Amino acid sequence: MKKLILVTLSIVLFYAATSKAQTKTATGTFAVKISEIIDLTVSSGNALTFDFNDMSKLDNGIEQLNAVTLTSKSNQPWFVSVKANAANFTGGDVTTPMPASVIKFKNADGGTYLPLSTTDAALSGTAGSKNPRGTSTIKVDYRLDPGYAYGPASDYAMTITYTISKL
Amino acid sequence: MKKILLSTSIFALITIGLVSTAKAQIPATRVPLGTVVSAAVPATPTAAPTSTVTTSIVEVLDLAVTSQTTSNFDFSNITTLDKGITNTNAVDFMFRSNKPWFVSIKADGANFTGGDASTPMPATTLQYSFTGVNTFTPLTETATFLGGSTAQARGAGTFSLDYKMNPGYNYGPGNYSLGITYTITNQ
Repeated sequence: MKKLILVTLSIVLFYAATSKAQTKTATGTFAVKISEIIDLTVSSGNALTFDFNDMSKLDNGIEQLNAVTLTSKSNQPWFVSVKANAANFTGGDVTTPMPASVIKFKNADGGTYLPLSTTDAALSGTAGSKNPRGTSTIKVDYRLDPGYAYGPASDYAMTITYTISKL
Repeated sequence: MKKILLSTSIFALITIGLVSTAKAQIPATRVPLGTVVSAAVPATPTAAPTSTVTTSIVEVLDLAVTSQTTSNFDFSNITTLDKGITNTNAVDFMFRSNKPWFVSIKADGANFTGGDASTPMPATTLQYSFTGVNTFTPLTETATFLGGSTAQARGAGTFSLDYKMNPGYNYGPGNYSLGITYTITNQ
C-alpha cells in the first residue's frame, strides 16, 4: 500500500512539474540619435510689392496684413528676429535715399509696429524668452508710410533677413 | 502427504496428455495401450510479438535575438524629423518551442535614458510591428503579446519586428537609449 501511494505521488509531482509554464526572455537596447535641428523658411511673401500709385495711399500709407508667413522647426527652444540688410533701400531716387525704417513690421499675433533697421529686432520670442521647441508658423504684418519725402521711382528695394536662433 | 502429491502429479500428467491428444487432432485409429503416440503440432499461423518503447520529451522554449539594427534611428536632418523613420526587420529572432507559444514585448523604462534631460522621451515614441503586418503599436512598460491572444504554432523558426519612430521636434538633440525585453511563454 505504501508503494502504491508513493508511485501515485510521484506521478502527480511529475505531472505538476511538466505542466508548469515556461518563459524565456531576450533583451535588446534601442539607440536613437537626434541631431540639433533649427530651421526657418519663408512659406509665403517672398516678394512683397507696395505700390503707391495714388495720393490716398501716400496720405494713409499701405498696410499688408499677414504679408509674410514663416515656418519654423526646432528641437531646441528658439526665437526669431528680423532686420534690414541695409540702412537704405536700393534703387529709387538717389537724391532721396529711403531708409529701412520706412518699413514697419509686427507679428500678426499682436504687438505694435516697429521700424525696421539693420539691427536684429525680436519678431517671435527673445533670447530671454524663447518659444518652446516644435514646429510653428509666424505671420508678419508690414506697413509702409513714406509720405511725400521720397522722389517717385518704381525700383525701391529692400532685402529683409529673418533669423531663427537658440542662443 | 507424499502420496497425495504423487497422485495429483499423475493426474496432472494424464490431464495434459489428454489435452495434447485433443489438440493434435489425431486421426481416429485404434491405438493399443502402451504404444507411444507422436503427432506434429501445427505452427501458429501468424505472429504478433510486441514490445514497448518509452520516450520522454522535455519542454523546450527558447527565444534569442539573432540580429538587431540600431544605427538607423539617426534623426540627423529635417526630413527624418518631419517624416519619422521606419526600420524594417529591425530585430530578428529565433524561436524554438514544442508547445504553442506567445511572445510579449515591453520597455524597460517609461522613458528613454540619456538625451536631453529637459525633454524626457517616452517609450511610446517607439512603435513596433511584426514585419509585414504594418500595424504599429506604441511600446510601453506593460508586457504586450505581439500576436495578441492567438498562440503561435509550435516549431522552430524565425520572425522579425519592424520599428517606427516619429519624435518630431518635441525632444532636444542627444543620444537616447531604451532597453527592451522580449519574453516567450507557453501559457
